[in-house]
Amino acid sequence: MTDISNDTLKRASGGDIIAFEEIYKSVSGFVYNVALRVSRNRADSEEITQEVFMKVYHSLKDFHFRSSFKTWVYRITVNTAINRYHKSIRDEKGMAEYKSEIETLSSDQPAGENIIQKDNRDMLNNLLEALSQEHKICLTLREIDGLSYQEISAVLKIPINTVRSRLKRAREALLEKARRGQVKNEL
Amino acid sequence: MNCKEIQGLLKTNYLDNELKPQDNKAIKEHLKNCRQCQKLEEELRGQQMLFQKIKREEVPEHIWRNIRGAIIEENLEKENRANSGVFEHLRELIWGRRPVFVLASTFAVIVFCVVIVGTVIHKKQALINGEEILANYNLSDESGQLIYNFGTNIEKYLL
Repeated sequence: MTDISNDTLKRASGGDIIAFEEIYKSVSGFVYNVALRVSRNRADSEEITQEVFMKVYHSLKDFHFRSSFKTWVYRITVNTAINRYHKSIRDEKGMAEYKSEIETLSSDQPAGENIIQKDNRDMLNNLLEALSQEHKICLTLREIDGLSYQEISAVLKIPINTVRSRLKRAREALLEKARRGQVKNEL
Repeated sequence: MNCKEIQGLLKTNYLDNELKPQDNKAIKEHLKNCRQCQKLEEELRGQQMLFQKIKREEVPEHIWRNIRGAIIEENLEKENRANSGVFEHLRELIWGRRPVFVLASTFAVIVFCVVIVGTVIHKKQALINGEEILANYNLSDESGQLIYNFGTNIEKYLL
């Protein structure tokens, strides 16, 4: 994500749509991909992305530059995605759709996508199924989005020691699952 | 550091480059001589590679169009509200979503009406009473003739 100048943020908070588009271009990749990883559902990811940007647009005037803008948007994204996920899980119909999306998500990639990329994604999605939602978010913020322990701590509002222990448990769970899979393949 | 401590760090700070240089160096030294820890590091690096190979998905273009449309619609609504008449705005301010103002205004109107009606009735009653009092003053004798002398000296000045 490229840095966004304070001037752009100020103009956008005053209702300047061009400045807001600049912000959108800079952070939408992160927002959409986090939404996709949490919800595992394209339709939900699109709705989450729209919801996040409407929240950002309405709250920009209350953003007083006390924290990093990047951390602030990450936090709104993670919270919105998790809330939407819980809501969809509570809803029985949503749960059925969620399961069906998981089954079809891997075959629903853009036509031009590299086969290796698709295989990697399938393998990773399969492995991530072994993790709880909080471990999965912590691990993907670190591994895919490249956030530091300090940044993850600020985004999820948890102590750094908790970040560390979640990453440790998540990696142990993934190793365990990979080892089991290997044993099954050998048999 | 023993293997258990090293393995804990391999799964966290070491893999994520969040270690002090001296601790990093100590772990690298340990890895040279410990096959079990080496194997764990390889597995963890392999896992990490899998994440790094995953490309981020492109954001569908229509999402921005939807957001832009929603913002423009919102701004138009705001403008319309701002442009509607001052009276409308005042009415909305006083009556809209404020039942306490409605109650207070109704009460004030009732009190005003009671005061006005009370004053009118009071004045009318006072007029009737005054006429009755005047009617009781009679300056005529029994035959209906006006009396000019009541037996005092003052009459010659006044009557």
